[in-house]
Amino acid sequence: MISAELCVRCKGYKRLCGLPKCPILEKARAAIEATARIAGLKIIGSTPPTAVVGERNYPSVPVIVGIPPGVSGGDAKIYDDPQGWWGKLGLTDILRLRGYQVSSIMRVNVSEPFTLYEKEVGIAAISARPVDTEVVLERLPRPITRLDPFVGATGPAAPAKEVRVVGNASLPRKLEEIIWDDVSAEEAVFELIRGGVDTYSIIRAMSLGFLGRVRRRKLVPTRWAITAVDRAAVKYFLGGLRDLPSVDKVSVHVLEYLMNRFYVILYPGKYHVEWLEVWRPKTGLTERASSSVIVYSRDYGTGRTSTIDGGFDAARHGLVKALYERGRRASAIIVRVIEPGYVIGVGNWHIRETVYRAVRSEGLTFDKLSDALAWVASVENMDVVSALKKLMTMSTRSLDIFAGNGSALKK
Amino acid sequence: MRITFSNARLWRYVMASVGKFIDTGYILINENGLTFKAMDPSKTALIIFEIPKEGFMEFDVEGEHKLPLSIEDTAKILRTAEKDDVLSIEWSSESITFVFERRGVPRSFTIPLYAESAIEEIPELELEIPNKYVIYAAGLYDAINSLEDVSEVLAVSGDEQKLVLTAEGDIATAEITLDTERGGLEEAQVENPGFRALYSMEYFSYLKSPMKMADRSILEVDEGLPCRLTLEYSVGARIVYYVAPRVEE
Repeated sequence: MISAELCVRCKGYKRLCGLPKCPILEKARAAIEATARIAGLKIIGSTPPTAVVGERNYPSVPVIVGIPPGVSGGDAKIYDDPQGWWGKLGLTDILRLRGYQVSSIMRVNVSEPFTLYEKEVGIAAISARPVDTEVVLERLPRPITRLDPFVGATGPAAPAKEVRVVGNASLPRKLEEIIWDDVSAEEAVFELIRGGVDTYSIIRAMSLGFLGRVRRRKLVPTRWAITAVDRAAVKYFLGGLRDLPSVDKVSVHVLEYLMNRFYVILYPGKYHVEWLEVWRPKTGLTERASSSVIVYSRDYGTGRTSTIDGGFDAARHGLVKALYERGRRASAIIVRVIEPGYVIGVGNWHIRETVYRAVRSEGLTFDKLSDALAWVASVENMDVVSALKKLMTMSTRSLDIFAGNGSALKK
Repeated sequence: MRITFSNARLWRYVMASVGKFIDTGYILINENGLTFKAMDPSKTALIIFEIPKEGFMEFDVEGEHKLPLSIEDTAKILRTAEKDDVLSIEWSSESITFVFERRGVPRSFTIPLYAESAIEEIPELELEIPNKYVIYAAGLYDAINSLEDVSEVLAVSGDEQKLVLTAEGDIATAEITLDTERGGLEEAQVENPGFRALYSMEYFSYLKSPMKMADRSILEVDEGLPCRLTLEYSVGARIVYYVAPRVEE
């Protein structure tokens, strides 16, 4: 029997159980019916834009362009709009929208991103507005939804014989400039953030090979691009945070979306973050668990983390961006409680967006960190309480208290 | 003013290790030698890298100079250091220059210094820690290398004869015993036998490369106290590394 803890750590991606395909994702896949109306091999519509670069068979990777059949112009935007979705759409709404899009698959070598530019597919994929596109498929797609806890779901897919961009792409000005610049991908991400380009456009630009040294540009599987952009963003905002004054109070900011409840506890001090994930039984990944599965990670204050966790990367991105905008640095504890209804991941975007909005919200203030943690424990269920207790009771002391001849402090 | 050190690679491994968890630190140079000091933002670990004046091939210094710098940038520069490189350091009030020289070809890198106000004050620790173990060359490196994947917590216990390092994970437990008679331990001076101290494993993992290069490791440890790990090198250099304890309250 595969332990639920292993599933939570793996999220169906790392194959920690040794099986070739994740049985949980396979089961969910079969249960979700794709709803796209596919009348023939020719699909006409506007890509919102949706573009995903897969990693299977690397370096000859699939590039997936999503098109909602028969939906064009501004109406197509809602099919891939994490910032617009937040707080308005539920899990099934999002899966339905994703399932409605037809994914046309092209196979491209990662070293040849320019083949996509020639067909204008690349440019359409980084457009700020939907772009009219026509696709001729090689065969009719099977009506199933593809699930990926990092990237999100994609609709029925089939290899594309031809992808033709017929509309005009509209690029954010800063993005249009940066794709001609011969700078490192990290510097390009910094510049785009500075220019106010939204995270999702930056991820697509990175993934489609528009960023980085010109001679070394490659397609980057979207999952990798999400991690790279989140980490670069954390680094960018951290650079600004260091010189800012600290928050002067302990505060707790609570926000819930898609059956994921976040408690962001901010307290005075230098930036460092502790991350506690509480997966309640009966979520998609904890079907067989009898009690909550706890995942713990931390950012030591340098932007590096104790474990590799895409969810934590997204949360840190939301946190540091919001702190930077508030003009304050802080130490933080983020508690994510995943409720049973969260049957399948729809991508990390909701973690990034919810944490960002939580930190921007007013929050409740407390005199001491222990009071704030006690309050969270008082409003949460027993599993969260025991996870918090573990966090509080298994703490690392600060070297400060041993300054001078600190042996007197020995317990 | 200029100082020259014969083993650039030692600097490379120290900075690469420290750069994994600390952003900024400072170098203090005075007539006694050089001290590099840095503490991580959560104040869990403090590293002091010392080289006495005698450890340098060239030591042209007047007065005292505090040079606050970016560890990330320094580590990037030092990444180019090779086995036979000799390292010279020159500085002004605004910048620091690292010069590597091999077979008469110098390579020079200059980075700006931080303002002193950008570096947080690093506390002085003068702890009396009652249990002291001297470990043969790379013994500690081998132990950490074996234990680090098992658990996030390193438990240290021991008596007058042996030092026991334990990693208790969710699934597995691993234990390594270093013994004065059976091997691994050169010396043990223990005032509080039966102690059990807990530390975050990650802070030991960071220092693996300097541990591997050390001629001798001295671990001073006790329940509820920071541990002090001293790594000694043949060129007269040493690292003194403090890690705050984890406590079960």
